[in-house]
Amino acid sequence: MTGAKLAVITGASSGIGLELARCAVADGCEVLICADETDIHDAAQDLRDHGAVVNALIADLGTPEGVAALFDEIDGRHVDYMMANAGRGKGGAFLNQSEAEVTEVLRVNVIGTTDLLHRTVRLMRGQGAGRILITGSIAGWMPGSYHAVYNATKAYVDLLSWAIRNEVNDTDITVTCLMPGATDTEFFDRADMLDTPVGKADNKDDPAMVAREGYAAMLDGRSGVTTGFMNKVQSLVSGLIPASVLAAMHRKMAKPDGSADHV
Amino acid sequence: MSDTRLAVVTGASTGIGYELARFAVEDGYDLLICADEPAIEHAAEKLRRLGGTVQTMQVDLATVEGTDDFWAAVGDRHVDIFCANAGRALGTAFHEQEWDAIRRLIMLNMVQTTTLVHRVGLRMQAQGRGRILVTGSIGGFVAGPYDAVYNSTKAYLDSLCYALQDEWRDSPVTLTCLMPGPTDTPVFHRPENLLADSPIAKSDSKYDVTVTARAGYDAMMAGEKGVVPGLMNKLIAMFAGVVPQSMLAEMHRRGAKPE
Repeated sequence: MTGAKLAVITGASSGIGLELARCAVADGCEVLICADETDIHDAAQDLRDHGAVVNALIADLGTPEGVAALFDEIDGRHVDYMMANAGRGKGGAFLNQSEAEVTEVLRVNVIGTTDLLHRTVRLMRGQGAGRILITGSIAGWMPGSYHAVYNATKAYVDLLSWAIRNEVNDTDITVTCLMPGATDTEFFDRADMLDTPVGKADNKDDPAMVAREGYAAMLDGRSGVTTGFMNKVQSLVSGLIPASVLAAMHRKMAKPDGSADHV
Repeated sequence: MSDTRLAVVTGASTGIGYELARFAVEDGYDLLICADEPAIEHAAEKLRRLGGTVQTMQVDLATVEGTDDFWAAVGDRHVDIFCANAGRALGTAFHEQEWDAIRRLIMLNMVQTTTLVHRVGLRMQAQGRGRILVTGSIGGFVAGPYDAVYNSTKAYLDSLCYALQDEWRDSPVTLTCLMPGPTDTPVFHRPENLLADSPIAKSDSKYDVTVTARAGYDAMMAGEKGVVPGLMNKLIAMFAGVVPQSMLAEMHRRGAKPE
């Protein structure tokens, strides 16, 4: 028993999730990290090398069993910080994607995230306090031509974050929505978007910076944070621009240029 | 080659879906309609009196099996109109909702709608024409305390529609998003819906269902991208882009919190 705060981070094997875990470790937290791949153990070892107390779990949070396994691992302990970060993208035209690819994004980003948040809010209401950080995206405020289902799932996540925040505003629970723009992680490779302008762009944000801003916003209990200067500008104006124009803007970033084979 | 044209409407036993089906019959379309309740047969009887050929199916679209069964009923027919209208609300605070009810809401409003739009989108691209209407909501612009998941599902649908319109902009297939405000339909008073005790459910200023559906149907036939019926709803949709979500959430809380 260390007396340290417990932070739970999902999708923590790489990218923003791993950087969020680093923030928590630097802040003196004990961490429980989770991902659907064996890389989570490498991430755990890396964090332990920095002196952290780390528990790692391989679980697919898009399944009820995966979410249940995470809460079995928590085992009734007090959770100070929950960072619901696990998510997937899938680029390309909607009708060129298979149904399985489409529903996979929904399964992980929507069903898994909602299940996790539902259990977390109940747990933290029992505790009487806690902080939740949800990785949404500025993509949620912009219809995503050539990344349609992903952007729409982030519209879901962003809005859910604000709704839950409002519902718990008479408790000591806070809910913060982290809304990154394009960030330099494995996301675009995994989403088969390396042959798109956004995938090729070399000015993507540093995941460590994104995570630091998100972590700080969570500690402050802020409603949301958009990371990166251009993304802040974009999210500011997106409410003024018709959805159809935003969608056309998104096409320019996300339409494949044909340099890769799309199945 | 028969000269009949087929309109498919999901969630057509009552409310906006029934009205959409009625307009299609009046325009001479044959109908395939479904709902998850026996009332679909009563709706079909009324529609047949208007002179239409009406095929019905009672099916639970909140399940993968139900969605597959319904698509099997569409078969390999030419689909002229597809109204992806089936959807539900849930009501009350997120932590008080049962997970199974939340999961069903996501399956119905999002997974099923996405699956059928994907299937009928491919069908219509192959046909070289077709019209799709998706029932989104202005709720999709507003964080929805006390119906949090519902509003979020509609944010998903609204966003998806605008993205697909752009992807299909050179295609002869049109997709229109109907974004009603609170409309006078049974959605607020379903047995599983915990919204019944909220100010918005009791309000008598909800928008007329026929006018709402008419606006959606006409926008679909005109190939418009989106339509928000009603002046107040148009104002809300406009303001939602510039008002902070925390303020919109507070407004929603006042309407949706059970008394």
